[in-house]
Amino acid sequence: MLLGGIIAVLDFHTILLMFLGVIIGIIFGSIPGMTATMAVVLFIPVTFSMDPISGMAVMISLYVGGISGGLIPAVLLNMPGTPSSIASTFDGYPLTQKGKAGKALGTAVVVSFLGGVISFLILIFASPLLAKVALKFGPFEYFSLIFFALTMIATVTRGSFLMGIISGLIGMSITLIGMAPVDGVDRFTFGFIQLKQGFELLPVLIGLFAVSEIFKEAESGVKKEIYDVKTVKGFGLSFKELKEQIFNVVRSGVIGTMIGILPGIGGSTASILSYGQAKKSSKYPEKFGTGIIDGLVASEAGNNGLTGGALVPLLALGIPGDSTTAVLLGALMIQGVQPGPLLFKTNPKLIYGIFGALLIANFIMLLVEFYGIRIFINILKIPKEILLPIVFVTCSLGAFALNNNIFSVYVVIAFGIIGYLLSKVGIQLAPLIIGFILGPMAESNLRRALMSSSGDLTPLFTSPISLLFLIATLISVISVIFRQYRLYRNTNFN
Amino acid sequence: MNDYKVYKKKIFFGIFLIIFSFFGYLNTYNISNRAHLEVSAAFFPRIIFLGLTIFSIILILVNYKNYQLKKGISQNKKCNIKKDIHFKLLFLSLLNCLAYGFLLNKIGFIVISILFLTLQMTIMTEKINIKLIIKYFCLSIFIVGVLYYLFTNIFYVPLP
Repeated sequence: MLLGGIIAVLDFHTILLMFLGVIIGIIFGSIPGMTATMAVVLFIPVTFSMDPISGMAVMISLYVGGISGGLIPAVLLNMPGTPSSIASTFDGYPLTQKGKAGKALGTAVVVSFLGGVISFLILIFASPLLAKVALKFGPFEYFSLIFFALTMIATVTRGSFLMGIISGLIGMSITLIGMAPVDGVDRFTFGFIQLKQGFELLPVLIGLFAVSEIFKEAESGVKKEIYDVKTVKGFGLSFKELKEQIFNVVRSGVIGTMIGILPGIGGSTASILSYGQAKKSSKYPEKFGTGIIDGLVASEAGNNGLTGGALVPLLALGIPGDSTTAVLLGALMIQGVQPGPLLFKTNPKLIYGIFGALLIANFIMLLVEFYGIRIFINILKIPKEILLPIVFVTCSLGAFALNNNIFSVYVVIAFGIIGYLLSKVGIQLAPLIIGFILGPMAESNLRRALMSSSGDLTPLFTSPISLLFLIATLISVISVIFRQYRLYRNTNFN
Repeated sequence: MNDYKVYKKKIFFGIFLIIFSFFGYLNTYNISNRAHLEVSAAFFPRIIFLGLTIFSIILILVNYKNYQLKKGISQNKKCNIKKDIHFKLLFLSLLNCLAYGFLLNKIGFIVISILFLTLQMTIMTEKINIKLIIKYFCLSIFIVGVLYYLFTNIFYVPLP
C-alpha cells in the first residue's frame, strides 16, 4: 500500500513541483514573518487543476520546506524565521559565533530530515490509534500538558531562575491584551480597536528577536565581526557525532510528533519541549545555550517531527493539528475529499500517497538544503551595517504581509524597543516567548475546564492523562529546585 | 558595569513591575462578566498580576541584599570599568526605525525603504564619505526593487 502511494507520487511532473514547493517553502520559512501556512495558502489555486495526490504532494512539500527553512535565520542571525525554530536560536547562534555556522546548519538539516522520517514512521504505523488517544484530551488534560510545558521556562532560563519566571509572567501579561478566550470580553484595550485582536505571535517574535538586535548593535557601535566561514564539507557533522545524538533525535522526533497530534499546540511548543527534555536528561545541562549541537538537534528534530504528527488528526479524524494543516484540510475539501476515519477505507491510495509525499518531501528538503548550506552561509560575509537594516525592512514587510495591516509593523517596532529595554535589565527573551505562546492556551483550557466542572478542580487529578502530566510537572519542578540548590551551594562553598 | 549598579537597576525594575501589576490588577475590575460565567475573564489576569507582584518583591529583596553587600566593596575598589555605549548611534537608529514605521503608509514602501536603508547603513558605518553613501543608496534601490518584486509578484502581497 505504502509502496503504491510512493509510486503514485513518483511522477516526473509531481516531483518537479515538489522540488519547487520545498524551495519556495524554505524561502518563506527563512524570511521572518512569512510562514509555511502562507506558502501553502498561496499555492492552493495552483493545485486546483491537479489530481488530489499531486496537489497534496506539492502542499506537503511547501509545509516541510516552510518548517525547516526557519532554521537558517535562527542559526545564522539569531532570528527565528518561524515560531517553530525559536529554540534553534538558543544553541544554533552561539555555534555560529564560535565559527561553526556550517556545522550548525548541516546538523540542523540532517536532524530536521530525521525528525521528519520519525514522524513519517509514526504516521504510517500508528495514526488511527494515536488519533483515538488525542480524542481523549479534554480541557483538563490540555491544561495539565500546558502546565507541564510551562516548566520549560525554568529549563531554558540561563542564570537567574527568578528572572526567568518574571520573564515568563511578562510574556503572559502581554497576551492578556485583547479579547479574552471563551467569552470574547475586551481586556486592557483602552478603547483602541487594533488592540481587540491582541498581539499576534509573529510580529512580537520578530520585534523581540530581530529588531531589538539592531538597537543592541547600534548601542555597542557596529563592530566588524569576522565569522570564521569555513568551506563546508558534507553536512559538517561526523557520523560519530550523529551516532551520539541518535537518542536525542528519536526522543525529540517523538515529542514533536506527539505535540503535532494534539490540535492547536504548535511547532514552537514542540521545539521548546524537545529542547527542555534534552537539557534535563543531559550529562552537561550547563553547556546548553553556549553552543552545543545537542540543543540544536533537539529543537530541529522536534519541530520537524511535528509535520507528520499534525497529519494524524487531519487524516484520521478530519481535525487540523495546526494552522497549516487547517489550510491542507481546506485544500482536500476543495478537491472533493472529506478527511476522516472513513478515508482509510474509501480512498487508501490517497492516504498512502500523502504518506509517501511526506517521506519524499523530506528527502527533497535534505537534498536542497545540503546544497543550500553553501549559499546560506555566505549571509555571514555581509557586513552588519548592511545586513541589519535589510533584515529590518524584510521583517517589517513580513509582519505587514500577515494581514495587510500597518499595525503589525508598529507592533514589530514597539516590541523591538521593549526587547532592547528588557535585555538592559537582564530579562531573557526565551522564557518571555514561552509565556507568550503558552499563556493563552493555559487560560482558555483552564477556563473551559472549570466551566465544564462547575468550578471543581478534582478532574485534574482523577483523569489519568492529566495526573500523568501533573506528576511530570512536579518531578520537573523538584529537579529545578534541586539544581538551583546545588548551584547555590557550589557558588557559596567555592 | 559595576555589580552594584546592576542590582540597583534590578531594584528599580522590580518597583516598576509592582506599579505595572498594581494598575493591571486594578484594571481587572473594569472587565465585564456579561456572560455571568463561573470563571470570569478577570480570573487569569489577576493570577498573573499577583504572581508578577510576588516575584517582583522577591527580586527587590534579593537585589537589595546583594546591593548592600557589593556597594561598599565597589566603592572601595573604585571600579572604573566602563562599557562603551554609543548613545548617538542608538538614538539615531531608534528615530530612523520609528520614522520608517510611521511614514511607511504615508509615503509608500519604495521611497521610505530606500531612504531608511541608505540612512541606517550610513548611521551604522564607522567612517562616512560621499562615495560610500552613494554606494549605499544604489544598494538600497536594488534591494528595495528585489523585495518589491518578490512581495508583489511572487507572494501577491500588495505593499503600501
